[in-house]
Amino acid sequence: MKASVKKLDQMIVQELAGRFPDFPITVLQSPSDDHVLCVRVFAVPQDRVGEVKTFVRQLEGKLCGDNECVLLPMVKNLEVTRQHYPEHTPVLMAGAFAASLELSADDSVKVWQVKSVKVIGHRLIANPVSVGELAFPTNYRPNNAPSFHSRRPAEEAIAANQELALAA
Amino acid sequence: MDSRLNAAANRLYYAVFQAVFEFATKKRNYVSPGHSAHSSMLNIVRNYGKGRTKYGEVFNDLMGLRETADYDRETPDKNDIENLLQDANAIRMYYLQQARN
Repeated sequence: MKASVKKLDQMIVQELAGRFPDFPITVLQSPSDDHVLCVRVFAVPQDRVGEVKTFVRQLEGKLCGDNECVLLPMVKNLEVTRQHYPEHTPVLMAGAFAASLELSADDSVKVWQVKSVKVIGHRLIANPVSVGELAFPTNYRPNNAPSFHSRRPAEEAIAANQELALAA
Repeated sequence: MDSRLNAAANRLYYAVFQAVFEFATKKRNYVSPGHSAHSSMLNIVRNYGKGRTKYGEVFNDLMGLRETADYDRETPDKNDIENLLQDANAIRMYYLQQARN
């Protein structure tokens, strides 16, 4: 079991991230039992906790052979994540990131302003707001946002965001 | 309050675990192969006796609460513990009875 744990935990993270791209995930072997993998999923809205739990249970059937391993779904809702796992907490940063971003959409580069940026792990998810007469690209979806880069390094933005979160 | 919830989750789990363990050793000739007694007991609940699917899920939930209580930063949710009380007791009584038969 030990030899395959690393590969297995990567597969679990991959499957979960594919289904729930916005939720940070950790997979760790239980200190009490070599065959038990604790699957911690963070920042889950309360009304989706059951859905995540069910998915982890289904994943056990898919990835673990008969009685080979056990997946423990340990789903942390938003409140628990905010209180105890600040490193996994999504933070809205309204106003503080009101800088121009370059968004590539439809093979062109457009300049937008953002109202807020959600930081999840090391990923930034922008919530662009049009200014003036600008309109969203018709194919824009928050979860399928076009790639972008900011004029501030991502690390700086994350640090600023964490400061804001602490101040709040 | 925090420490009492941690203790409650831990003891609720082990109350069930010990009952299944007693059944496993007495009736299934279970000998612990090492560092995997918890998963072994879960597999017994899942594969033997009545209410396998439901009891398996309950035992799995109890394991999760116990891991949270013993190793995580937060305490288990009081409602989650209370919601499992009745089923936990049913599993415990069932396996104790099976061990005595």
